[in-house]
Amino acid sequence: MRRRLAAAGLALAAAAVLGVAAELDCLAQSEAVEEKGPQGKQARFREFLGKVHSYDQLRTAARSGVPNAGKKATAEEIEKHKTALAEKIEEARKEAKPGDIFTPDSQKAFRSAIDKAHSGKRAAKIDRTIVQGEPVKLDLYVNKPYPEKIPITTVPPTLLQHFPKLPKKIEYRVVGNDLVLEDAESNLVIDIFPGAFPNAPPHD
Amino acid sequence: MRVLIRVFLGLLLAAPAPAQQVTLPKAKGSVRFAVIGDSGTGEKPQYETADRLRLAREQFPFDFVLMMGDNIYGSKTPRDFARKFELPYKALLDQKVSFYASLGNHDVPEEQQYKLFNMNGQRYYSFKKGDVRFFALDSNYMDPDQLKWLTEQLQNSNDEWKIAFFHHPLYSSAAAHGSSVELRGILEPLFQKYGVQVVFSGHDHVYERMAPQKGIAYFTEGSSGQLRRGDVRGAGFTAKFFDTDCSFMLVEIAQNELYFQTLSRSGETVDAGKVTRAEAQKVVVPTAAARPRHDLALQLLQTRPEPR
Repeated sequence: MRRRLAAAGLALAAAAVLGVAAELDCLAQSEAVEEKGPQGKQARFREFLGKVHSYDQLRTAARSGVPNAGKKATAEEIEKHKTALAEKIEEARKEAKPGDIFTPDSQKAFRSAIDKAHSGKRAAKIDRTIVQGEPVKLDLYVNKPYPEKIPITTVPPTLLQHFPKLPKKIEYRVVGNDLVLEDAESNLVIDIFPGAFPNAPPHD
Repeated sequence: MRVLIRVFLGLLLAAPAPAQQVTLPKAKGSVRFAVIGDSGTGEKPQYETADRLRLAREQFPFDFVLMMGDNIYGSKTPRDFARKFELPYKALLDQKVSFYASLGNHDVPEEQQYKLFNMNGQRYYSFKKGDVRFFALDSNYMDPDQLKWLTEQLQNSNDEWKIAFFHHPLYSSAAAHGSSVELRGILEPLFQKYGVQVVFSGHDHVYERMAPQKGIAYFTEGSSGQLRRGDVRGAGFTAKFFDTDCSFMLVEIAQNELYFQTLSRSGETVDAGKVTRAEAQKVVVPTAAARPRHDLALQLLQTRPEPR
């Protein structure tokens, strides 16, 4: 019963968050102005950023009632925090599916950014960074954990310069040919853009 | 009699080899630390290298240890943190030696909250010891925010010494990974502009010292638990390497000099020398403590294939 109430609470929080989507759009828009004007990077990713901020709000709501690990935690405290937070987010996003955040329009924007970054002499350097980061091919699932035993692949800095800025503890990952959005606090996969890197270098 | 001889020989072989003399100057008021990388396997080589580090501290009482990442391989349960970090370094932790970690590709972001890694919840951070400012970076994820932070930190640092450390080496002739060229293109101009003198990294499971590049001394120490035997290919920038056993570094900074000594798991000195501030480009000088057999290794460089 308590679990159901908690889930209902989170669902309400999620609804509230979606309700302020317009507000978040404004936020994204203002960031766009700050970046390079309305045609700038942030503006092109407005829809994506709005959805990422919604997720961030949902995570903030999910943190309530979860034991806080703090900045100087023991391994046990870190484990408890991560596990409890992941459980609450998984419950609140149980309907989550690929493409919820990487929508078709967002995928176009990312594809364009990747093509722009991965061009000319930079392409070889980006590929080399991916290879040196011990690339992996994994079957990942939205709203499920990224396996901890598997190395986190290095994200080429040039790509990060072309991608929109994310809230704290939400990070991009390059996994095989896919672009993955990961919650670095709960270790959950937030969303996947399959085939974002059709020409990714070979992986294990 | 034979039995006695066997027992004596057995005891002799079982006893750990005595630590080789630490030749660092141990100057009054100097900043002393150790460097380990790619350590967190929880396997025997890590434990043995950690024990050698403990023995080295008896001769050279360092205050802290820099970790080059891959601090916890594989699973990351509390039991793993104990087996892959707390137990191998227990003696040092008990002696209040502080560990300052950077994150490798086998680490997870939540390690930044682990109190014994002293990251204070940050992926990248800086701290000061004496006249030395250390910059711990997250080379897995060099995003614009981190670069902005680093630029500001370097701009605002008036410290005599500026030392950066992170997982991926900007220069490496190891076959497994090699130089992180893209990262080098981004970081090296900043290091040059703001006077970073020394950079430590890991990732490649070997020890390699580079000839100064653009005035900066680069070291790779990625074999304090892992080891890729015979992986160094050697390149024009390679000054010295050791890839036949695990190792760690001891470092002492006294005024304008940074002294280093690299020891193997068996306690052998495999490299030693000093970097002089302001003229690092010219004076990375190997000292007599580096044994001749590793000069042989340098000759071998010429016979190995070109690095990637």
